[in-house]
Amino acid sequence: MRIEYVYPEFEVVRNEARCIQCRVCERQCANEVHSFDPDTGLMLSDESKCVNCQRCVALCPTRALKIVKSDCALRENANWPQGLIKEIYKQANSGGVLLSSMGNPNPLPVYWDKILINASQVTNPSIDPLREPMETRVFLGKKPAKVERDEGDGLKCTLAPQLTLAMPVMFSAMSYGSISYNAHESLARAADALGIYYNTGEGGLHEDFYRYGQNTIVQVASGRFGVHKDYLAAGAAIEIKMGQGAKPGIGGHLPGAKIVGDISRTRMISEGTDAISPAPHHDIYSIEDLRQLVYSLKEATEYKKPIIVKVAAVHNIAAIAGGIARSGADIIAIDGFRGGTGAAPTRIRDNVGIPIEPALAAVDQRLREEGIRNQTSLVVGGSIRSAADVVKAIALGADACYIATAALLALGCHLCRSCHTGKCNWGIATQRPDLVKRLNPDIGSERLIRLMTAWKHEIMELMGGMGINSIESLRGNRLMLRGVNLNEKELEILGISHAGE
Amino acid sequence: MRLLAVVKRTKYTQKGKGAFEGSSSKTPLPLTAILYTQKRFVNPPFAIVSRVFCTQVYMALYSGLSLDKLMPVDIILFNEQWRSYGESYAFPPVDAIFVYCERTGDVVRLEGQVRIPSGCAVAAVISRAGKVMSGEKIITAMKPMHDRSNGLGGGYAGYGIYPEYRDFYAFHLFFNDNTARKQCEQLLKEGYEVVQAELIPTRQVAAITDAPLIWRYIVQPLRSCLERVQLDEKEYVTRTVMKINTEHDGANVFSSGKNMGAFKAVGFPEDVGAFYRLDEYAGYCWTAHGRYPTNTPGWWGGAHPFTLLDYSIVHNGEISSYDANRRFIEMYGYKCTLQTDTEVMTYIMDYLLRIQSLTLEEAAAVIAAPFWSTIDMMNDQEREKLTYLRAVFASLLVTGPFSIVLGFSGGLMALNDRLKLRSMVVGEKDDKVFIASEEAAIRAMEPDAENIFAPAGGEPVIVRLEEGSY
Repeated sequence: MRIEYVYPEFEVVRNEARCIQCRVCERQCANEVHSFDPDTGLMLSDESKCVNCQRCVALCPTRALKIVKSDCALRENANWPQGLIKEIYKQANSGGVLLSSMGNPNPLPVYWDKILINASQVTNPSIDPLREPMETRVFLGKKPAKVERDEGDGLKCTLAPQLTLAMPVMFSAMSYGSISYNAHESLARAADALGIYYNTGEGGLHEDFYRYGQNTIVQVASGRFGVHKDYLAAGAAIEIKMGQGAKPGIGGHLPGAKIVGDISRTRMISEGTDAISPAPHHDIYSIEDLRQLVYSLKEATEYKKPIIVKVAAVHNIAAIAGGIARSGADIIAIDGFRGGTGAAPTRIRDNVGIPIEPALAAVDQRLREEGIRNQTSLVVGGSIRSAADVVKAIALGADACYIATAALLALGCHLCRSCHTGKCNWGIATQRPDLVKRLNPDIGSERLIRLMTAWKHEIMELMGGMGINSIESLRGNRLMLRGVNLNEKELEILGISHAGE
Repeated sequence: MRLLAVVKRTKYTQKGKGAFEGSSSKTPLPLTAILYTQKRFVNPPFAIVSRVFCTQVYMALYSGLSLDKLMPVDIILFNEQWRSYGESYAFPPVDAIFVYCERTGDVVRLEGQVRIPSGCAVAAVISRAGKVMSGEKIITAMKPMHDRSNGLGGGYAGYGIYPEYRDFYAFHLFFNDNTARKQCEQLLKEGYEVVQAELIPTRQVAAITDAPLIWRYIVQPLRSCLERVQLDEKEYVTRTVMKINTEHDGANVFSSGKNMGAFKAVGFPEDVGAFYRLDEYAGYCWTAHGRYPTNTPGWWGGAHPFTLLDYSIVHNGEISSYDANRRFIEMYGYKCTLQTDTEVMTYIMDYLLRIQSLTLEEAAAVIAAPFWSTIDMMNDQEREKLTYLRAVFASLLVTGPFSIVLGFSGGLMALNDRLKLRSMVVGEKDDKVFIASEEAAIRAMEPDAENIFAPAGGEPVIVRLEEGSY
């Protein structure tokens, strides 16, 4: 047998005194780590298959299991970390591009954690959200540069189409295909109940979910899977996906094995065909082409829906966003390099793009310098992890945030980063019916609603502390932020002062 | 010429008190001590300077917003006296203190570049019949509210005070010196017909010191210039004001309206009123302000009212939405050079009323918008309108406590923040309407004032002159 140099990352620790050989772990593990040895009457483990998703740990009725990081390690080398060595072995085995899932796990700077929020003391009363109104309603869409009046001198109150959010958070794009039917249903129902929006991603919209259309953003990506007139008409807004934070500059690939049944029908491609989204939109090679697509979609939907253009945060993002703002887009969505994915080439996920914080700061500042910030709304994603991140993003200049990883965590994701294998034991990133049914949409949507409700409370507490009782007074209010452990250049780009200043 | 102290920061080396990097025999002093002994400064301004120690004090000419002539003078301060090494002498009062950061070479201003949270008192009186009153009355109003200010700023705006020049713009300017004045006058002459230029008459008042040069220019934009730049008259004047305030060191336009004028200074409001001889002016509307900056030295440009064209604002409060408002309004050509809350409020009003042509009620519904819970219960027409205004001008919602009086030609508007976090009462008597932070101030102006009430948060009180009276 060929030696593959693949060593288990994790160790399955089974407390034999507690194990009752009920074989739940065996049935629950799609990776087939656990097995029963009838000769000895004991449970066995094949640790090389374990991804540390904690499914067996969670369901073990006697708490007999734990998964720990293996202490079997290669000789330490500061220049050659273990992960890199193992990747070399994998590529030497496969000859292929390495795939990864979810966001960049490497220790690159998280600027959110170096930004601190202000609070009122003495000169300005803080506001208690339990006793006073605290407003988090946000409108996304184009605003007129000049108000107009009718003959009777009344205001002409017709606005371009807007999205109205009860709180400045939306569920980011995750396609049906990359995540399960039940995951989609959970997101759709939660968005509906919360007065926010979820996003179909690039895989079309399952016919069962058309009824949540009022809270749905339908995406048009480079593969145009599942895009047709009814689909465009079904959503509250249309998002043109130009890029994704986890994989700027490349398209997507859903293997033919996953293109079965409903997914094939929803994507409008034959069963078993690979769904390959090209790297660029082949009808968009420049900004003037984007303008054409924006207006094509507006024409197709009779100018009734705002158009979002989503791009990955890359080096020249401020100028790119300026161009998008002038292309007719109503909303710009920017996805930072820590954003998640169902599958991306590891090298690209871990090395391409820039963090969302400086990207957001630069874009907001540029649009203001050009005097067009009020004509476009700005939505940011790419690892918004908590209510504090949301508040910091709004204060830097965002109108709203996109979250996806946090939403999946609420559904039970344990961030094992193995979505690309399609064997998600939590029923999220899989299409295997036996796994999908593990995620109950009743419970999933409830958990999402509770998470967002909790965040909303926290956002209101943080706002009240600053003496701000409406979210729009926080937007772009960078005086409410201070940096710690940031150098002059970083502070300059973020447009904030250092703590103590 | 004005003097300015710049304090050089040095690193504290942990060798114990008195031993600092960069110091030799000189005894360094904490900057807090300097600020404290300077009497005028009630508190050490900011956390960053409170732990800064200095070995050298620089003297520099204070020329507006720039600091180009730094001269090390080896002077340190202690026991309330400035003293040079070897010989002791009284040091002239400084106008501002800056901190010099050695590492970056930046000089950090403590006033004028930083936001100033403040307490304050406001008062106003207007005759609906357009009958003129001397400034005496409004000065009287400020006396019972003495404790609401701390002597670091007071000011007034009077409307209808220049009837003989009612079609001309009256510019009031502070100059640091005659050089700044001459440069500025040159600029004015190029674009305006200057029909009068004079020092604004003042009276010797012991409590008012360090006065800059205070000039008044009665001007009219040259028609040829207006045609060349293709701007309407008001926009042209606005750009001139912004240009002087941002580009001309040592010059500050603090009043630029027609038949109105602002008068302001560092001092208690009653002293400021006497200093400017307001008893000798007669106007149909007066607003007043006493300032209580909590942590800054206070300076002339920072006193209220803040004005642009005919709009003047006196304001008591702290705007928690300040940077959101500032960064929005600066998209439209305004420059917040003073970075006080109130300045941005003046520009917001100008933008909403003049540029966007909103009504006063609509502008009030933008900056002190009703809550969504209220809007959602309104009839369709009202709801649509208020939703539109909140959506379009979301970034101009002003949060945090405030009470403001907006003066304009022919009227005034008083407005509280939507939670009513600052006091403000309104009363009337015959043709007059009185507004003040406290009823005591109204009673001081008119003991028999009637119908006294406190307007609700976000409820604008708009008073206009009767038709034909102005």
